[in-house]
Amino acid sequence: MLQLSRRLLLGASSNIMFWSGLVGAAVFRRNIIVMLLCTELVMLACNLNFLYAAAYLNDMTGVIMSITITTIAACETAIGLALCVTYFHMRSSSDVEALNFLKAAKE
Amino acid sequence: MLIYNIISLSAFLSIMVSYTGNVFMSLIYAVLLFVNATLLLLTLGFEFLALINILVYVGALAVLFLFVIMLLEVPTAELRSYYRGYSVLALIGFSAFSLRFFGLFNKFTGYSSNYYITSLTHTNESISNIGYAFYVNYADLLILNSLVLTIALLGALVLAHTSKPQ
Repeated sequence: MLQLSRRLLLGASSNIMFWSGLVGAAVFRRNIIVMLLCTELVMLACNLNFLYAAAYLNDMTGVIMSITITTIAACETAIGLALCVTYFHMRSSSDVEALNFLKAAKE
Repeated sequence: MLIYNIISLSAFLSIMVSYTGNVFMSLIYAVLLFVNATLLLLTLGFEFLALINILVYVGALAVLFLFVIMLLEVPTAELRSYYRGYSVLALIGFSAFSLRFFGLFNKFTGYSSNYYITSLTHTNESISNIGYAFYVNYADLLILNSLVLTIALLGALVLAHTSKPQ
């Protein structure tokens, strides 16, 4: 794709996807599964952004970066879900607000 | 024209992922978003990456999410869905979504043995280019990616082993 206007429009679409995923994970923490799903959305938006740049600049680096990002996102989601399974086997509850072990105890 | 439809659909789906009250609907919207990203990549000419997206995101990650949701029994609102009379709208939406695939191959000139499959859409990348880049120019990235995958696999195995009640 050679037109800058098309590239900017696609960049805006990946921007919407990125911010929807980020706000959904950080602000609307509905439960842990949806938080991980929104993180996947963030990764997908960055992936698509790299590919738009690769199509605009006719460079292979963006494609290589996109494959790397896909790999990392898949690994991170697998580890995150394994952690969820481990945690809920011990806790038997899926409340996200109860995941506060790193927070200092209130005096 | 097709690009505008796909982009607006991606904006709508990405907002609906966190707006829906049901976890399964969030997953379904995410799967539709992944398919949407595949369509976007097909319009750009990244056919290998489009297939890889479908394989990895839908085939592995969405299925993994589904299994974990079923295992953990995540509390969902509106789990039991009753028939609300949206079948006509669903049919229209489904046909509109699936008809997007027909706008991609505009350079189709007919069945002939002289044409290769790559002449259907314009190509910005191909498997040979990616293979050459990964094995010659970015060989260290390939080995690092495989190391990350190995570590993720071993980590998942360790976590599954330690969570078993002894």
